[in-house]
Amino acid sequence: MRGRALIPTLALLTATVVLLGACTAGKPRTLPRARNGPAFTYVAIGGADTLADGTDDPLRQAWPQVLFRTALPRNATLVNLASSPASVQDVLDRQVPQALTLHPTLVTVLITDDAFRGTPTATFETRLRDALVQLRQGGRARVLVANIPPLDARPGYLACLPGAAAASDCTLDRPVPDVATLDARVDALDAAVARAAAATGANVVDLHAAVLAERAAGRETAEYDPGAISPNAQGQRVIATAFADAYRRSNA
Amino acid sequence: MSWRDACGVAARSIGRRLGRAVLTVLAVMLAAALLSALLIVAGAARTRVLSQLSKGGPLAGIQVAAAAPDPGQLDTDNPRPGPARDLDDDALHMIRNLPGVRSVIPLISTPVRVIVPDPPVTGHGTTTASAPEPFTETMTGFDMRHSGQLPITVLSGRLPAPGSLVEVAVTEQYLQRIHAQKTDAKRVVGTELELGAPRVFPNDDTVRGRWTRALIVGVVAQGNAAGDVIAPIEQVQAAQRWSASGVGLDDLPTSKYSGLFVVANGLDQVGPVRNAITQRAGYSTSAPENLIATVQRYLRVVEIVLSGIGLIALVIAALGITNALLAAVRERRREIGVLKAIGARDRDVRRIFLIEASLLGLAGGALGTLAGFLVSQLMAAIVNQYLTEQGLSAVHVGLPVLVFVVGVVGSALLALVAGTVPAQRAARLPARQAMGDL
Repeated sequence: MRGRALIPTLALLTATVVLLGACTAGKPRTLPRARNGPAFTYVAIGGADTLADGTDDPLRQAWPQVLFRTALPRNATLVNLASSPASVQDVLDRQVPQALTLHPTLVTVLITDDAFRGTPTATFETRLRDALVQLRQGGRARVLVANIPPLDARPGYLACLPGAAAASDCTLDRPVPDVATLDARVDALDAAVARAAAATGANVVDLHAAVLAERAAGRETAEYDPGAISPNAQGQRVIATAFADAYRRSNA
Repeated sequence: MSWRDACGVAARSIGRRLGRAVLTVLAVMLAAALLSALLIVAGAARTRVLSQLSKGGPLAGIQVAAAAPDPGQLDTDNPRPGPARDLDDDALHMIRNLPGVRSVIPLISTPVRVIVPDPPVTGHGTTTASAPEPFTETMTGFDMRHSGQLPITVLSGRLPAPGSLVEVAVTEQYLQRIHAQKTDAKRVVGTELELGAPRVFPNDDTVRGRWTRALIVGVVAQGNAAGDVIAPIEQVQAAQRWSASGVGLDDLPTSKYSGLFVVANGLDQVGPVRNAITQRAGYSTSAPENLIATVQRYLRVVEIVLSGIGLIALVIAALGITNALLAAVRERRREIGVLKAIGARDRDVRRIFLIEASLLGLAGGALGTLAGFLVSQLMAAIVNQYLTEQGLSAVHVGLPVLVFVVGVVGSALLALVAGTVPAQRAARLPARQAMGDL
């Protein structure tokens, strides 16, 4: 009796499963809706490093693009206002006014050219402080300003030193400071960056320490292509990581 | 004799001759299955063919280009557009107010720089896709709330949500760019593009991009939209505003709308509306109305032929019911005699046989329609596997309510008609003659 009742039940179950299977077969996979989120405008300010002059594919490999891609929310928009070369004066005259028209939520600043040009530290600090004050927009924007990394191992600089083997690779205005002078300038300018940031409420990105860590790990040489004054794709990722870490810390 | 008694007698009669009843139900079931499967498949094929012709949009859709008509191309489905002509709000308003126009959907386009993710696909597939160098393409946008009215066929995933600033769909052209096959469409869904709208600031000679990230939520067949990227209109407008606020970009489109998609009040209105847009508004139009009309005629013929085959099967099944009931009348003469001897009237006997016929028809019809649906699903699964291999969108085969109702009710009615002659013969059987056969 029990067996006789089981057969129609099994038949009914099989028919139901087949019917349900047939009804859902071939349904395409769809993604859940991605939310727009609040407006988030990220503006990158800087010079050759920020434009990724040393890479094969600047649009894809520039560190602001990597930061935008990997660390910022999907609804963020990025405008890279960097120009090459760009001193703090160039930034103040051209990039800062352009940035202010965009009402940014986040601004990153990386300026290295003044170390090669020999801009006096006091002048650099005054101009940088002026730029940061404007970019902060009374506290509405978060500003991440990087100190200057060690520049004394960049092939484009080394090629400009007297007696360099690859002198034709030099793209800087000669004469360039010797290694000791350059290091001293970088240290002085980094101290100025720290003071300007502290005075304006900007967050300092310790790029100097990040690059020294790369040097200690023996990776720095691979982060520049021969003759280049700016980092290649690998070096750009190092900068992006330093900024991403600082951005996350400033969120905390 | 009450209806309840008659139903009981009919049911007991079916139960006593279960083998014959099962065979009769099977005959009706097979016929109903054939008819419903043919109707379902024909309906799905019709939808698919017409959808292919109209590229997923309404049959009465007309595409209006931001171009003047070419006088040598009139009266053709897909004319070559003439010289560029701006489509603005005045033109939109005028076309919207033309007689016979149901709705007008504006399309806008803007050039964007596209960075493809590396790797450009997810998971493993048959081909090795590679990320190309960043390239400039056209991003086309429209109000996604009206996407159902546009000639767009989704190959994989879905269209972006209305108003989304972070979702896009890509076209087959994008698949070609990343050296992927149509079969890889679903592997593109879930990856992310970076889109840069160009702009030149005053006193600056560098083109600056306004970069946004957008999740690819679907892959669509190339329809009306130009370019690789399809986005909600809000996203394209934001990019367009950015580009337009700059200076010195010469290759930006001057037309506010890159095209319009006009839906006429019916296929018969497509011709007059097209003529009005061409002659009164002065824009180039295209619509596959001639092709659709021709194909519809052919499809109607196919449907009639298929329905005829199914109906023939049903008539054969009805003859089977008649035969089975006539045999039952012969076998049950004694029972009929007894029923009449205890007071059953002719109409009671007729009712019993008609109920029996209806029950057989109803059971056969219900089972047959269900079986027909399962057969059509099986066929759809086989066809869809082929379509998926070819990178084409799958066919959806549902169970139309009309087919189910017609299958079940039609089978019952046909059985009722088939049972009329045996029932009449049983009713007229004199009680004495029936008893005398004992």
